[in-house]
Amino acid sequence: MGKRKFGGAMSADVSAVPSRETVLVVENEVLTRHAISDYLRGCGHKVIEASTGDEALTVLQEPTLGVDVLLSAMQMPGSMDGFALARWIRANRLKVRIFLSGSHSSGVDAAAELHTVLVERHRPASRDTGKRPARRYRRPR
Amino acid sequence: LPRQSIPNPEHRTAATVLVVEDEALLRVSLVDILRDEGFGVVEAASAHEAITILQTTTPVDIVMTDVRMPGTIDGVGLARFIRAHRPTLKIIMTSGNLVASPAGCPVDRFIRKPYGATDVVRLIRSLSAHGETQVRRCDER
Repeated sequence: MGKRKFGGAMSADVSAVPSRETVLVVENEVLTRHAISDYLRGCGHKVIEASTGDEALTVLQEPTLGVDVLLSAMQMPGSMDGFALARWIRANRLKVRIFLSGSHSSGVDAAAELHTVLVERHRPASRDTGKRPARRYRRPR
Repeated sequence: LPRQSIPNPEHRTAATVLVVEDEALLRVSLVDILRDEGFGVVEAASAHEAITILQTTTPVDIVMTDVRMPGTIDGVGLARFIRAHRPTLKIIMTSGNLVASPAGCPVDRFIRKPYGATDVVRLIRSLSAHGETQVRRCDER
């Protein structure tokens, strides 16, 4: 580790071969993202956080990170929302499983077209405990 | 690269670091290293996200922030916010463009990019070992 340099021209070298699933959590609301990520880490997963679809794409394009699962909000600011990410993954990373979360019923059809799991999301009851919102995500079948 | 842990068990899990960095791959790499070294880590992709986190009860001991970040608040603005609202937090500022923290910026330490993983881990350990924040201004060095 001692020879690794950060902050210059670099490529991330985060991963060894993951012994557990690596989940990329994409959510622009930081407290929600933190709550979900914290919960998933507690479940034993390695979690990578991205605040936008563009950040997520950067992570997905880095082969050493080995993302197994995408859990993304449907709607996000920036050039890529959750559906755009899902389409990119379907075209470029076929092995990555996709879970889109949101509260918009219109997302159901779009998610079905992309063969993704749509996880209905409710507003978090507490924004600072970091636990309850994540538990509201249904475990996909 | 193989990861070599820096042996210092007495400081493991001692501090929680809020990493504020807008470059996704750099942030992912850094938080991964810090978690492996036993630190608690919370991550933010912008100063605005960091402030949102700091306004909650999320425990944070040290904030490591880049200077230049997108949005209306940069690392300097974040440092000033912290000194005004969370004065006991320790601040590490980092930049690839500057050789020291900007004039009048109240930070505890400055580390220039690119930095080695060993250097930043050692820096955080040294800060977490101190009982009190020792605010340095760049014009005091």
